[in-house]
Amino acid sequence: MLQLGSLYCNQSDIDAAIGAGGVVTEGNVWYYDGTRVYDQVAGYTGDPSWYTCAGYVNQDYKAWVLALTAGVSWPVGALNGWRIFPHGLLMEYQRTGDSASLQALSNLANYSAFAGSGGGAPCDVSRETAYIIDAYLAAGDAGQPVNPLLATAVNYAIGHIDQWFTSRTCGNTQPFMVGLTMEALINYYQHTGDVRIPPQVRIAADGLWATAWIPAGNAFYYESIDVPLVAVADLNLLIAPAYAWLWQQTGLARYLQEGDQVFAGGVLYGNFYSGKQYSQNYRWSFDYEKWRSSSPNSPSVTGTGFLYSRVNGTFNGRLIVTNTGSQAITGPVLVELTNLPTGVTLSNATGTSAGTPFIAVPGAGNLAPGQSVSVNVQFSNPSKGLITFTPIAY
Amino acid sequence: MRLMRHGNAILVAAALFLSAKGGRADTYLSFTVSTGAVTGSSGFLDFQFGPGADSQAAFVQIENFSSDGSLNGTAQVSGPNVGGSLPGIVKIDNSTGYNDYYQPFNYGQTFSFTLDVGGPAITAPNGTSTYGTSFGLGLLDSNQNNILTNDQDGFAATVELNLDGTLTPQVFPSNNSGGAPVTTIADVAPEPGVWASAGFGLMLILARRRARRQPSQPK
Repeated sequence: MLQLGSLYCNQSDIDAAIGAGGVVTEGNVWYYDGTRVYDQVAGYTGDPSWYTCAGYVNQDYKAWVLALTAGVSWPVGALNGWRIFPHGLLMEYQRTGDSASLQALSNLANYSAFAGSGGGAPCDVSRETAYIIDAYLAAGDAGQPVNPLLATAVNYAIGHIDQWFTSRTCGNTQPFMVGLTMEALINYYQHTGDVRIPPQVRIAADGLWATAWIPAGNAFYYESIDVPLVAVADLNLLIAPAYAWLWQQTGLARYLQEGDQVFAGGVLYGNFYSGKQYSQNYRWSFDYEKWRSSSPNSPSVTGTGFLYSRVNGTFNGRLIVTNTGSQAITGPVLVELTNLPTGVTLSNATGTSAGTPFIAVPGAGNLAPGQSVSVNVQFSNPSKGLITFTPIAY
Repeated sequence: MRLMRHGNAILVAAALFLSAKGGRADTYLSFTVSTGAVTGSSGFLDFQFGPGADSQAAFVQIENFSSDGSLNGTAQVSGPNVGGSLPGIVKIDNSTGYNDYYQPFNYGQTFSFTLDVGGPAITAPNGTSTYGTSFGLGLLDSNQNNILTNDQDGFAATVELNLDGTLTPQVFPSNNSGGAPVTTIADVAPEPGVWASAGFGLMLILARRRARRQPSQPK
């Protein structure tokens, strides 16, 4: 990280790649948000000299954004949707108070190519949608009004996951794009606690692992339309953090094992052709390390028996979620009910995740160690058989 | 006391006693149900014992059934291990998903019964099951609509058998005008063996007190 970071911290190269005059090449550290990467390196190592590198990138990226949006009050197509890197601008603004960084960030959220639409429904604009979610959220973090299209963008992103893994209507699936969508949705979840998000991230991570992981290549394939499929480890670290997040959220060991394989494949077999690969590898892999090294949430699920209600025609009882870990569980708690018997459905489900019902537990916003909360459950059970299932809480 | 109390109960005065047979034994709850608001009408009494996904084996027995109302024909039974008939002992275990004893009934002013809760889930909780079992008492009118309760599921009272072998009774207020409770779990009938144990314990305490009153030996 440090050796390559020094190699790509080349002001003249960065100046030549992007600036007020436009984008010359994406094969440079600015792409995938070099400002964010170097800021994170500085924070991780405690060495403030890396902020100098962040400044090199930020100066040129900011200049490009501001030049394209000078005097406009509408989305600018030339501020391309795949080149939207708000995190670095936010970090620099928060670190230095630089008003130009704030202005550039605001302009990304309001005047970039997809800012006026919240991305789009087709899966081939998933990256543009993910990036505009990030931009909306970052602008809000900087004290700017949150673009009201945030909800639309999130719905689009959820739709992309459906197209990739549920309805399978997307003509070409690129796992690293899925990684960017998972990153944006996790970011959104951390801001809002929207209970729809964790099941969606699970669908995406499970779907990728089931359909796109190539064990011999220690990587996911690059895209599903390749014949033969080509494993590309350079992109692993755009995906691995989502598995660490799921492990941290659920405590399910398989996410730890899968995430470790993805991360190790990227570290061992990724090639760094340019600064672009450097930034794509370190864009959010610091979050992988953070979630990987923290204790996972440990919610356990118990419950009462289920009684048949002649009023409702359902079998009703309560699930009890207890934090058996040593740290508080923040945010909403969801319980997925997997492996329900055929014909049995959860009548009061909050939603479904790839066909599996889940229910949000009320009042579980900050569950202290040892604390319990409960939620009523109602089952449709026409055969009146024993209601069995495997709960997964997160 | 192993009886857990639920905050919504109007009146729950119950206790648990251990028998002298070694280890834990059955738990007894005495139910008294006031049905004055529907005296003279016919309907149904519903007794259910429902397990969760992996509940440890348990049973309930409805004993000492008494009423100034009258039983009104043969009960409808659901579940392979629901046996007996009122006013005698009715035993319901939790071996299947739906275990129910549904008794046609002419309501009087009151009825009462003792609920005997037993089985391994009570006597030797295994520590591995993650779901308890729930007992439910429902009162229904002749159209099989639940009455005298504000419980959204229609029960007048429930008792949860918890994973540690304790019981949590809950009584639901009536939806009748006046808001009086229709059900109380008012007492417990301990086994004779418990009184024997208690008497033995009392004798032991008295004997120790007497021993303390003896003057100490000179040193």
